[in-house]
Amino acid sequence: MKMSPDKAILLVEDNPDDIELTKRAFIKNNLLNPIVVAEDGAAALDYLFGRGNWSARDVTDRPALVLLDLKLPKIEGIEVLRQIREDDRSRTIPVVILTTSREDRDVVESYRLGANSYVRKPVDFNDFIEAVKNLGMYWLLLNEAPPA
Amino acid sequence: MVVVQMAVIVSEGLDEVRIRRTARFSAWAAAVIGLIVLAMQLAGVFGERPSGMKANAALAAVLIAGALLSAERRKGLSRLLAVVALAVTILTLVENLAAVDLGIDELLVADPTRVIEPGRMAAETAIVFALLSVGALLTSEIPVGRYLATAMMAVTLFVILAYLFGALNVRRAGAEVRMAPETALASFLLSVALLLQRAGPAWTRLLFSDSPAGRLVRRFISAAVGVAFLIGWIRIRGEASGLLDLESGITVSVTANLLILVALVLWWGQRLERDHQSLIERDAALMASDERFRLASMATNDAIYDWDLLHGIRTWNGVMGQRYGYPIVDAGRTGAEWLERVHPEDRERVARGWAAALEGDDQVWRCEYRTIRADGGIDDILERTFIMRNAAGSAIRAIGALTELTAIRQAEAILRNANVELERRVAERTEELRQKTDRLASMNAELEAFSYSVSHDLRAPLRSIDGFSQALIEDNEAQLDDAGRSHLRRIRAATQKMAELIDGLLELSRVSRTALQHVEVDLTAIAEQTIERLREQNPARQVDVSIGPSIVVQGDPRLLRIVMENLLENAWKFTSKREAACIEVGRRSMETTTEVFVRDNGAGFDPQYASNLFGAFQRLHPVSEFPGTGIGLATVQRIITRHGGTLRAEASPGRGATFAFTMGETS
Repeated sequence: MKMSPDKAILLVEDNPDDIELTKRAFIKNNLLNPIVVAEDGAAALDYLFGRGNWSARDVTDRPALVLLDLKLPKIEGIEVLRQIREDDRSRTIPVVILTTSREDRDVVESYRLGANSYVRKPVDFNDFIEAVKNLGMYWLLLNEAPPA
Repeated sequence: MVVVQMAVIVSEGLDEVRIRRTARFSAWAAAVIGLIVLAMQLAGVFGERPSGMKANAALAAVLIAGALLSAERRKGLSRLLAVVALAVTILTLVENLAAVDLGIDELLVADPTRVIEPGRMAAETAIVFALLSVGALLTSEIPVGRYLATAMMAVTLFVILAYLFGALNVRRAGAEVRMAPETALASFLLSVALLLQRAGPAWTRLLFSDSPAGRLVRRFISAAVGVAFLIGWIRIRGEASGLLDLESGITVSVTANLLILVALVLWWGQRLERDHQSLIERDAALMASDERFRLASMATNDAIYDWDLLHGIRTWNGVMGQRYGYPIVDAGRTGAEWLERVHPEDRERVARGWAAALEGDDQVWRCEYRTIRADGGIDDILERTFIMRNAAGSAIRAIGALTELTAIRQAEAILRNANVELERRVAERTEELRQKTDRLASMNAELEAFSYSVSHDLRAPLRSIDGFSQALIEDNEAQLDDAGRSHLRRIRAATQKMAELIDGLLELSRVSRTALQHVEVDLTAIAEQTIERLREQNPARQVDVSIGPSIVVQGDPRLLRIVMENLLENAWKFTSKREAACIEVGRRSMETTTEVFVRDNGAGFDPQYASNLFGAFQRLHPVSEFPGTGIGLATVQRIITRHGGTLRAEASPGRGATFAFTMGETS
């Protein structure tokens, strides 16, 4: 098994409660990768492409995983996903849609745009911990990211 | 090309011509007799013939014939001739009555016979010629002339017959001067000429008529004359030869006369009767044909005309009067008169069309135009005319009909308007429908946006409540007492409950919004998968499940899965308090369709509340007993209804429930 514990996880989420609970779920599952939080779509793209507040960042240091909420301020999650998939620098980063919505159009649209997976945030926190565990196991531990 | 013989019947004219011809012939014949006698007397070839026609008698005959022949064209001459003839005859009569010799008798020719009064015509001859002269003079009193002529005919006929039967013997003459036979013949001819002067009296027309009656009369008269003469002659001969005496002679002649005349009358009567019968039949046929035509024209309600183009006379049927209000004689006997009845705007077109039809060689002319009724109303009509032509191709007769199109035109106009109105209303409705559809679409979009935000925004706080309650339990367990931990558990349970409610509502609205698929759905497989999942979630429960094989229906696979899951989860839930729980899934045939059922032996319910079952958030059991949102059956009901089927439930408290649904036409 190959791990990439030093690589960051980009969490794109505007709800502070969800940010806190997601971080907690990762810790509960012993997934210790640093979690970078972007609170809107624009901030997420700045991080990925080294713009704005993140202009000093080395963009070749790509995150191991992007957890992307769809309902976001400034730039919608679907648009963020589209731009990630359009840019060569970010095209291969695994993106998991992390949302409360079960609406079909989100699933269909995000898969069409190249989302790797879709996880619905359950209300039961224990269920959520379980989901994050599965997520981490697969995308961070099992699924080796392609070489840069 | 149809050639029609315009049979102009002028039988009267023909009769008249014949009568005049006969009158002239008779006068000429009398004149010729007179001239021949005169010529022979002058030439002295007459010889000794004491009872022959005298020179003055011959002269009178020629004069009277001349007077009659010139009566119409040269009245003066005619009168002069008649007056001279009258003078000669009157003088002769004076000689006879006064027993004097005025010297007129041998004025022309000396009489070698030297009878009592040499060269003098007989007294009766003088009377007959005098009366004929008077008749010839009386041109303004024709009836008087005709009476005279008739009387003279009878007298002269008597003399002629007397000579023929030997009552007067030419050879026996000498004792008295008698009218000579040639004088009698000439007088008879002159009487006929006088009688038939100016076309003769009415009764003579029958004699010359071409009609069956005319022919009959002519034949009968000639037969009667012939028979009477023949029988008279036979009787005289019989008596002369001694075969018959007076009595038997009369008997023979009367009998023969009776037999022959009766036979003739009967024979001609029969022929007349036959003619009459065939005439009656022809009359009846004609009347039937006439009646048929009249009825047919009534049936069509067409104004029909027969137009004699040669004489410009048009005859209309009664419809013209009834329908268009014009007296038939006033309906336009000529084309120009009818054009007055044509609407002014159409007049020129009709006139031009009709003129072209007459010029051309078509048999049928059709024209639609407007007419003005007598009461001023306007009709649309169709005129159709059959034109008959003679051999040269000129139109001589036209038979036509005016068909009224007003009602048809009005109906067409109404239909047209109705169509326009219909189209306008369809367009209106279409527009209304489009607006409604747009409104519905925008409402649907709003609803979807609402559902989306419900799903997103209502669930997020629940997650926080649950997540941090859990965090509190985990991180601050030491600080919490049992009551605190219990409160937190209740908070978390309520949160779960609310999440379920939100999910249920979302599902219910999604069921109504999403488009239906129609594919084969294997309900047996879905039931098996659902039961397997329930067994995994509740491994402790012992439930006897029986699922019928290959229950396949047509419908939407995702929605039908929701139906089966809901019904089986309900059955699973409500049998949870049974020791020997049973769930059965099957299919049964109803009268017209088949229904799929899910039966359990669980808690059941009171059927009087069954109507509450399918409303959202309606529950028949306390949550403490059986948890649930009360949305599941409402969702099932809505899915089945969308498939065109029905859902029903049968149950009694404590004895289980059965939910059965049909799938409408697609099952």
